[in-house]
Amino acid sequence: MPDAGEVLVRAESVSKVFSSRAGDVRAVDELSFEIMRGETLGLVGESGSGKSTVARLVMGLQPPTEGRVLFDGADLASVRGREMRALRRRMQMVFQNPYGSLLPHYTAAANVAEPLRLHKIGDQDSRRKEALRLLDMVGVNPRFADLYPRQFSGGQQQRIAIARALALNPDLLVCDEPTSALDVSIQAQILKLLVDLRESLGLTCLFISHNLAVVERLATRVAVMNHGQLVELAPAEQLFHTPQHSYTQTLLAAVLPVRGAKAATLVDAPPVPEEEVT
Amino acid sequence: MGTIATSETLATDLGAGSPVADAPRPRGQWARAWDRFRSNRLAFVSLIFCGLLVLLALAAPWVATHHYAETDYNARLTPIGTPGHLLGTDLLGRDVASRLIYGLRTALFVAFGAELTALVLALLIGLVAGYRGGRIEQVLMGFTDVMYAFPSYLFAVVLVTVLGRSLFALILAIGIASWVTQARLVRAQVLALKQRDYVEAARAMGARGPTIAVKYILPNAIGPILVTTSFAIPAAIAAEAGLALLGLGVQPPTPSWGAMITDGMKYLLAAPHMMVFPAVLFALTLLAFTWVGDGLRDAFDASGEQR
Amino acid sequence: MTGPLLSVRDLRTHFVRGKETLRAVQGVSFDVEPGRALAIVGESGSGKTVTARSLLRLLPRTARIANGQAILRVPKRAGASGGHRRGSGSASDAHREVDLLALPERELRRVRGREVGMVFQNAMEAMNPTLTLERQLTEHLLWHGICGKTEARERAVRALGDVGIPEPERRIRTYPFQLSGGMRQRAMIAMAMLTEPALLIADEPTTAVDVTVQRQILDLLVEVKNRGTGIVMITHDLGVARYFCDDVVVMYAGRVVERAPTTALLDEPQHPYSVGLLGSSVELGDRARPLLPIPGSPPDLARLPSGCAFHPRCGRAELPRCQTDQDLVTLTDGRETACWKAVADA
Repeated sequence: MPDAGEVLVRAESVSKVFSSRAGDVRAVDELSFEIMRGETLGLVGESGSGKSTVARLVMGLQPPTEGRVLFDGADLASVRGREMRALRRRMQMVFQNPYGSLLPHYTAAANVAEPLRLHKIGDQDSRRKEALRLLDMVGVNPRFADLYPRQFSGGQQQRIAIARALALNPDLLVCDEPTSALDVSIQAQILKLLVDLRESLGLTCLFISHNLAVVERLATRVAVMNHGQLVELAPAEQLFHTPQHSYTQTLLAAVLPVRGAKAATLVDAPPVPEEEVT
Repeated sequence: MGTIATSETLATDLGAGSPVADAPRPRGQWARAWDRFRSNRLAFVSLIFCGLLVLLALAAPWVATHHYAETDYNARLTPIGTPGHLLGTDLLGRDVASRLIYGLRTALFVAFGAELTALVLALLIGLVAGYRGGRIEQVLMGFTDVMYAFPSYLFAVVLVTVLGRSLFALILAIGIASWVTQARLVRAQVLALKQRDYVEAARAMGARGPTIAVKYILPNAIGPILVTTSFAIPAAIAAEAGLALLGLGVQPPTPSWGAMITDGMKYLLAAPHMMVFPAVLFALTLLAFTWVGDGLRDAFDASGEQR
Repeated sequence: MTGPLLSVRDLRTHFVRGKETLRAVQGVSFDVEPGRALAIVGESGSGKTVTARSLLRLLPRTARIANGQAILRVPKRAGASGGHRRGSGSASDAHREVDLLALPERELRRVRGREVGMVFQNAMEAMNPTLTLERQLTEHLLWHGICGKTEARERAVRALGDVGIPEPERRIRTYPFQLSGGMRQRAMIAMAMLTEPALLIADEPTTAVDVTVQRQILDLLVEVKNRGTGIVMITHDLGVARYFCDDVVVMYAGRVVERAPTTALLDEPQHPYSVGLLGSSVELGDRARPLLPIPGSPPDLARLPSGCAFHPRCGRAELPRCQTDQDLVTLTDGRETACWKAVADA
């Protein structure tokens, strides 16, 4: 079980510069932050703010140009080979486009079992059993385990992707816009699933989204990025109620409300028995 | 267009407890490609025809009534329907039907051999270049570009001249002439697939480079590669005939359709059967293989692949 | 003006795929008044985009408009239809009515982009990446025979300025890809509004842009609306509908399930699907509210459940009553819903 207050990820003035013929782009500029065990750090920003690059830096998928990212004390840039693979087991990622992130030629069960196979955990039978258990846990009927990703709807694909990310029982789950490609009603299902899983599994999350409302719902603390820089980092409650930075204020002001004051109570009356939501 | 729910998207989202009919059949990429291929009647009939050709070529020693080199000086240039020589005989009294079958054997052996060689080379070079990138890619693709600039026929002619007129030389000559296009295609496919999220997802899971290239990228690149290969087979059959026409085919008396057509032309008026049958069979074979390629292309067409 | 600007009746659009017929739009009706905006709200597969595209018959080849009318009342104006303007000035003659679904292709092309403007989710879809803004905008005017070359350029520059593009004189010489996403959307709106169309169809115009830009684009469209243009806005975003649209049509599986003035619909949704959509919407400040997702996912159009297509996902469904077809019923306050239970409650 996670101990609160213990740092899992520490980014120390991390920068990432992408060089191309058109010149250098500073996607991430001197970013420093920490992710505590058991918390969900929300990362908000508009397109091009560099938030997806942060996800990849934290995952060690890209090396930072300057600064360093420490995962549980280990500098991701200096860890190699076997040690890196051992670290990889402990951090997993959920992507925006669920179909694109699943192996198209593997069945749902095989996709979920693949990380176990890669890390040589268990044998074929135990891996399949585990995959079915995970699929069931995320609300995919195990009877459909042998279908291919494209035979599922977008919401189901994202559930499979989440099951795969959880297969290795990671310490850190990085979610990069996990609900942005989904319809409103499906988005709510996936958010609910993530909230439930986070609580039951005690996950530490880096949750990246352009949708402020989604981040507000999930995050313990929230970081706001603009043009590669961190403009504000505060506990969620504080950030959404008393934003300090003018950019945060602009962002919050631009959000369009859906419900009137009157409606807020009305929709609380459950239209659907909750247990049907899997 | 907005996404439209299709029958291939299943309404499988109902909770585990809800009454859903039996689980639908899993349909992987091969199964779907096969479904689409089968629905194309021309391609399907062509595939059967090609299959029969392959069987015929394999069974040549048992099907052919005569050996291809067996001459009968008493029955030279006999017409169609001569007892014992269903399609007549040629100038040396050799059975045309038997030589056609053995000619088919040569054509398919050379074509399949050449394309297999080309495929292996192309996959190796394209995959390594596409996946590794950097200096290795520059060297490999630079080499490919040089080969691409070299006229392939000339190359084949030189190679056959150097190595002699053997089946092996032909396979090598034609194979080397066609791997270049293939390698470029493989690399392009790999580069495109490398951008897909699942490659990054695989890296995040802790997969190693070779695993990603061979287990994740290659199976998804194979469809388009198979399509070009299937189009390259009739081209290779034609190339073999073409080289024979130039006198660079297999060493006689091993029969080759190209050589049979060339010989037949000389006696077109006296013995039309000598040329007509090889020419017709040659044309039909090319068409059938091309139609199979067409069918494969439609079957692997990426449209509708991604939603 | 008498009567609505656009009146759509019983629109049905089908897609043919192999032996299957997908009924993407099944009997959709609505009106659009001048100077008002109607939102067509729904999730993917609801038929909202197909509905919008059917109006201008901008559909893929496998689609067929099986039934329906879309009567557009076009104001007659000088120079319209090649200057053959008749002299009488009676009120009924100030407009002509055309059925967009029955118009011959040639005439439809005259209506498209002239009487009806279109704004897409992604400007790159509507603009030619190889032409400068100047070429695209002036050619649009010239093609519709609205004015001469010099005036066309002036109008184009003015139109870009109107949509808030700074330095329009300079920007008009750039290519679409040289603009930021927000600027491109503005340029596309400028192009759509060049001919002062009576009706603007906007298909998710802010889905691909950031929140801060979204607000600006919507404010721009408010100006367009205030000038008297009727707007049909396709969106999945209820916040956009609330901010911008006067009326909302909610679509599910090709049918309209509810229609009402925006605030009425979003404050007191009647149809269980609308209720579910609102329950699923996450917004700022409602962290304490439990998330109430709709279970399941939208149905396969080739295998629609009988009756109300929503009933398998509906918590209030009662069988077998919900398995029989339910038409839209007008409630006392003028709003319409396609749920018999909602009607019974009202």
